[in-house]
Amino acid sequence: MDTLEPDHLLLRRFAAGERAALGELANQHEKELLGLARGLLNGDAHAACDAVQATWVRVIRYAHSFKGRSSVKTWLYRILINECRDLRRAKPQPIQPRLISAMPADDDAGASLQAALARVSEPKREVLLLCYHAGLTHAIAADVLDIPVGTLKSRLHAAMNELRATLGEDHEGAVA
Amino acid sequence: MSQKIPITLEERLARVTVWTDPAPELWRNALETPAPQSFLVQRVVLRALATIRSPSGVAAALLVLAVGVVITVSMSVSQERSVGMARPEAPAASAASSPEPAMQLERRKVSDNSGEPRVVVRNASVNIQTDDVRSLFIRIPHFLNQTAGEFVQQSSLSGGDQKGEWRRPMYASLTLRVVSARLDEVMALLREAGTVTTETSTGEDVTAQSIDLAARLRNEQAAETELLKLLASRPEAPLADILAVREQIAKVRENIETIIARRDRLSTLAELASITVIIQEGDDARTASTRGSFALRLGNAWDSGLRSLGESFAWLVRVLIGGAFWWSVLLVLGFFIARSVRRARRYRP
Repeated sequence: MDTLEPDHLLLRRFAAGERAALGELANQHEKELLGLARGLLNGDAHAACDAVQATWVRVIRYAHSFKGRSSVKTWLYRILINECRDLRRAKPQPIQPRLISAMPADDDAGASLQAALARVSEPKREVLLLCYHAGLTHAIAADVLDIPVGTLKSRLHAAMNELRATLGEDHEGAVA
Repeated sequence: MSQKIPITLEERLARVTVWTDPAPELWRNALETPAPQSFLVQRVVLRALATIRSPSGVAAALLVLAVGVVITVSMSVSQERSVGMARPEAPAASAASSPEPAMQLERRKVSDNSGEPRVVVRNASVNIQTDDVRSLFIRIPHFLNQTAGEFVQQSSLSGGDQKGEWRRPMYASLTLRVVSARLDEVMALLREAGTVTTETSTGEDVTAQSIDLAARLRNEQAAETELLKLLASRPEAPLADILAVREQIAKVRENIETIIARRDRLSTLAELASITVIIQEGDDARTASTRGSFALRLGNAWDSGLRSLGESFAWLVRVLIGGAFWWSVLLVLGFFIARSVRRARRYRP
């Protein structure tokens, strides 16, 4: 589990000119960023790589101006979500079986979940993926989306209901 | 034999964002990406171009361009039209201020570099407010020196023929012809006669016109002399030749008379200047004449309010339409700047 201090220190070292510090920061967060980006971009791994690379470009450009008003992890996720939004706005990704299969779907049920996620609206999909991504707390997810925690919870509730309705299953329903 | 383990929807959602492949180390590519220019104008232009890539962006850009072109063309056409209309209106306005052109010539002893006496066209006008228009209208002709040839060219008095709330304000106008040398003196008397609201005075050098008339007169007189000599030296010439010479002499004489008449007119006018005097009732007089008339004051207040409202609306329309192009440019710039600032803030916690 990453703590805030090491990320801050790594970013400060990078801002001071130590390029390797960015590599250490990326080692800690890049896979999580890629996974979230792929989920947000309907399973398009290539677009996810573009989004994450654009995120690192932003980090490189603005590292010296990082004030520490939020954690580095929150900052990274916020940049990533904005990049994903820009990518979707510039080039909407249609739902394609090839792209869906790029996601870690072990069986038909997993594929159906990914297809259902792709049909959920963008704000709800962001809430769903963020809240259950890599153990992010609701507080961090709300901070990333720049909304109050209460708003996040209500959106999560509505999103879960919509997703369940789309999947046609009950809250307890599950398959292996 | 595999055993099916039931998992919740939340757990399945958590699996969706798991990246199982090795990290591609995209941060190395990011480090090699050249840093973009940080100038605000360039960023705004680049973002505008990025927006234009989409169909809606292209449509918006074309719309802004078309609106700008239309407004610019219409504004330039309107400006040319107003300039074209203003040019002929200037003499018309001056002519309207006096029933006859108030042009007067003043021959001054001062000579210019060519040695010819300078001829200056001068006219003046003055608006006077007074409580007793009729009295001043009668008194002004006494400012003139009639023995020196000064006179009232035109005069009129109107208004004041009704009483109460239907009374029209009294109005008078006079056109005075005074000796040019006394122009300043008469103007001073007029200033003392009431409250001067506006006063204008203009001068125009028409020396060239005077010189041209004198030259043409000399030429015509020389031609007449030669023709008379020719006629006297050939008494035995055929009748047809004699008649032709006489006809030519008559034409020259006619030209001479015309030029002399114009010269004399200029000479006569040069001795007199023109002053257009407008006399109006003062505010006190108007108020006194309508005092006690609540209906009239209410009507005036209503008219004044409507006029102010109309002027305000006209001003607003002028500002909105006249500056539509610049408003559009400012809006577009503001939109892109706001968007750039908003995006920059998103990346700067």
